Amino acid sequence: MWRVALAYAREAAEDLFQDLALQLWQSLARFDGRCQLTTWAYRVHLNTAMSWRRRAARRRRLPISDASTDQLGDRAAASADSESANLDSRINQLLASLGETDRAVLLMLLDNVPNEQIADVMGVSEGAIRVRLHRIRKRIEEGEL
Amino acid sequence: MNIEELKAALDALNADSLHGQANLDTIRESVMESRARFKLRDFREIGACVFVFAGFFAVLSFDLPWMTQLGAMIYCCAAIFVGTSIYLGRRRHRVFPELSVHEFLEAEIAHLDYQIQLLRNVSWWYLAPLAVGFLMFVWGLLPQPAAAVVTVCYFLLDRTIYWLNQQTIQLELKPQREKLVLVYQSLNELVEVNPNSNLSEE
Repeated sequence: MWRVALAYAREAAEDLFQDLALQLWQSLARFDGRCQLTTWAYRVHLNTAMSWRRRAARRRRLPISDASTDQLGDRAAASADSESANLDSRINQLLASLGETDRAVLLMLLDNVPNEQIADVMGVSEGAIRVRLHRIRKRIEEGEL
Repeated sequence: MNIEELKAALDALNADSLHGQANLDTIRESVMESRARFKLRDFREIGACVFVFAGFFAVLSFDLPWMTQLGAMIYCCAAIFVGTSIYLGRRRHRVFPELSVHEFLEAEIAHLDYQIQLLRNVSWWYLAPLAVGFLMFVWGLLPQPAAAVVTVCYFLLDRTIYWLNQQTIQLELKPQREKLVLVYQSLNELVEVNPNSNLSEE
């Protein structure tokens, strides 16, 4: 949950974290056991996080962009006197360069979620997820992202 | 950097920033607050309808011109219709976060479409029924010059509300919908292009 909060709202991760927990709590009563609890939790987290970002962008009258993470990345890069600042900046830029759904897929990949479950969370076929993950991996390894 | 390095890096960052622990008391308070807020909102809207209904319904017991009484009846019916439409519409188009991302985006787009449709037709389902009832009430009750002034003022207010609603559609709802549709379409594509980033072009 904390990782989702960091990935979708680096500058306001605490706020988003509270919102994720709130949504999880409120949705718990509707859990019907038709999917794994982790799948269900991922759905709640990712949908809430994506909605949260869109709402935050509207409130600030910003395009739904990664301006905040870009800025954070730039700031971190500017004061890149330590390895962790560089890493932080790199991850921010990486997340900023991904679209909303790619970011969700990457987060689940980093959490070792199986492809089948990622497909279930996203609501698309497993094949589509496999191809998407392959592309993301390739782009990361080639340094494109 | 490969995926494994990225994983390790993110884990290190997460470990650095694990101060975001779930505070169950805060969450419980937030749940209670949000429930109270929804109850208050429903109570306020239902209360407003009941107040308007009671006020105009009471008029029916007085010995007033037929046009005023008819206007009051229409206004009462319009208040019930508008209140019920808002209440049911809100419940019918609730979006639940436990849907898959695909279904959630579909539901959000459907919800926005519903809101756009409501605001686009606000003249017919909201403003017109109330205006007809109110203006009949006024024209039956007041002398013609005064009724004419009220009518002009009401018309201006009515058009302002309509204009504000159309502005909301153009400036807020339509751009929101376009962005949602882009995200929705990207789910069905094999590669998502982030329109805000020139790094992700492939």
